[in-house]
Amino acid sequence: MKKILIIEDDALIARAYGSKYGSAGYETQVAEDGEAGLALVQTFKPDLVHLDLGIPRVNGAEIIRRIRAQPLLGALPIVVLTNTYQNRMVKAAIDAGATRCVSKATCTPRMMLEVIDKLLSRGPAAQASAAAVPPTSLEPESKAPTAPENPPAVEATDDLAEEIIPVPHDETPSLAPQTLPAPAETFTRETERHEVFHARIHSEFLKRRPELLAALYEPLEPLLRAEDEEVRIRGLSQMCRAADRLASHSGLAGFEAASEMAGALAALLRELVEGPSEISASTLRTIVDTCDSLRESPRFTEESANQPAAPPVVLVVDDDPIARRAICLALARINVAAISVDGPVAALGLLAENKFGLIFLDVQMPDMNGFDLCRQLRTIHPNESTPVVFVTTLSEYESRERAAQVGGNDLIAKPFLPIELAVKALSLLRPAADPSA
Amino acid sequence: MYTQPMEMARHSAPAPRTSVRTEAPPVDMARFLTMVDDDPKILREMATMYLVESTELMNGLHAALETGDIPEAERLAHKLGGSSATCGMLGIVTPLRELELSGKARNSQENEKLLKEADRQHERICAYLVDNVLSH
Repeated sequence: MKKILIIEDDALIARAYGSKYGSAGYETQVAEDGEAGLALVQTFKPDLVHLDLGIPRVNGAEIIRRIRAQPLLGALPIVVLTNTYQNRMVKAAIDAGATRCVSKATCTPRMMLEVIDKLLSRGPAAQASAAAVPPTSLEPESKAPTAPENPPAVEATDDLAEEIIPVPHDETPSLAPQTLPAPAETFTRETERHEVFHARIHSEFLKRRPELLAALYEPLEPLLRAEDEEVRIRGLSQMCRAADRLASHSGLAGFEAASEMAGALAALLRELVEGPSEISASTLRTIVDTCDSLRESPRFTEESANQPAAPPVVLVVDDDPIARRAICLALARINVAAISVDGPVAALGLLAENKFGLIFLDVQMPDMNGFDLCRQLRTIHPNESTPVVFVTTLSEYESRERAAQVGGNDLIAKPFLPIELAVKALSLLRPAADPSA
Repeated sequence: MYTQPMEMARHSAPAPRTSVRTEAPPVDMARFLTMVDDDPKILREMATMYLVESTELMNGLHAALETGDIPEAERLAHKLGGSSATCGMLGIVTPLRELELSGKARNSQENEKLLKEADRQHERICAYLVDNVLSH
């Protein structure tokens, strides 16, 4: 039996993946921090390491470096689960020798299992099963539970996790080739198990969601009141962990859009912890708005789970080519396409003929200022209700008030952090399945 | 015509050092790298774009102040200040912001002094970008 070491500090997530791997015939052990993980690499001797980059005590990249420093472990596959928006952490992991990096927001346990099966190139059983998986299997999983899941191969230490995974021992799959059913039958059974597994995790997440959101909100008020930088950094760090946790759990349950938003929020919070000089009224407001958006989000409704977001196009209007490029680069981080124009005249032409998902406007532009353009576009079909965010150096209270008066939805102060702009865009763009859209 | 920094950029040669004072680097590279998501190709693209754009705006600023077109000078100072701050070209931001304010006060002597400081900082930025980004 091949062995997988899961280095993950969130017990529930570790349990969910452990169960998934266990039901597929792998032996697993869990380490809750980096030091424990490194110790288990020596004693458990895994064939593969599943590593969460945001692990406490020894960070993910350092764990990989230390493993790779051992001559016998140079080829040990290390699959890293990451927050898509924490690019520097991902690059550090790749530089340290990670075998594969997968996004928490878009990778379900089923996909992770497929990645692991391929990396470990298992025997005929896994190959038969893998051959039956259609090429579209990397699409998000569907619901509709029909059959029970197999037992977890990890020791139970978490009551909730025990509830997630039912334990019908007689259904444990054998990896012996002679006991295998035909590939098509294997595929059907595997699909059913995946569906049951997913439905249980999904349902447990919805139960647990208020607690995860409460953890996100808890440090918020003290943070907003704090004048001392140390207190602020402590609050931001606490929020960052909570946002990361929310991203992991919602991603695991298949709420991709919510997971992306929480992940981007975690990345913004981390940037502010590392560069507190960037803390401003604008960034704090973005944090509050994003928390509210996550709390009230239709992204957490049953209908929106596992529904891919629509591909919205964003319009950027700014007479400064550097600002235009900077905004488009920030949007590219969240895979959002943007069209940019250098002034209101060009913008008005586009607005009359195209529906945009979101509009970023500079304020001070020649010919017509951004406030007037916003007032005008509120009368232009089909963009009467398209969200408008002003991006401007005029960030004073009066500008915010004026922005609201002309129909603007928000305002970001220049110079902006790209991740702040990305977070703002994510919270304003509506996924296709949004029932309120 | 104010074109020296662009010429320097075109020839990728280090800028002549006009000051021996110890100053903070004119570019906050951490911010600049954050903006381009640590992508070296985009870093070069943005550095080149900044050199072109900022030189054009500095030329416009000189012309506006020479002809006494204060609103235009304020607009250009505001615009260059904004894009400089976005890219982390912090050295030039303060004189440009002050220029915006003193422009409003129609204080030509103060304007001249601030323009000189903006020129100096712009040269430092261009030299820094050529040395640390474009020649690699």
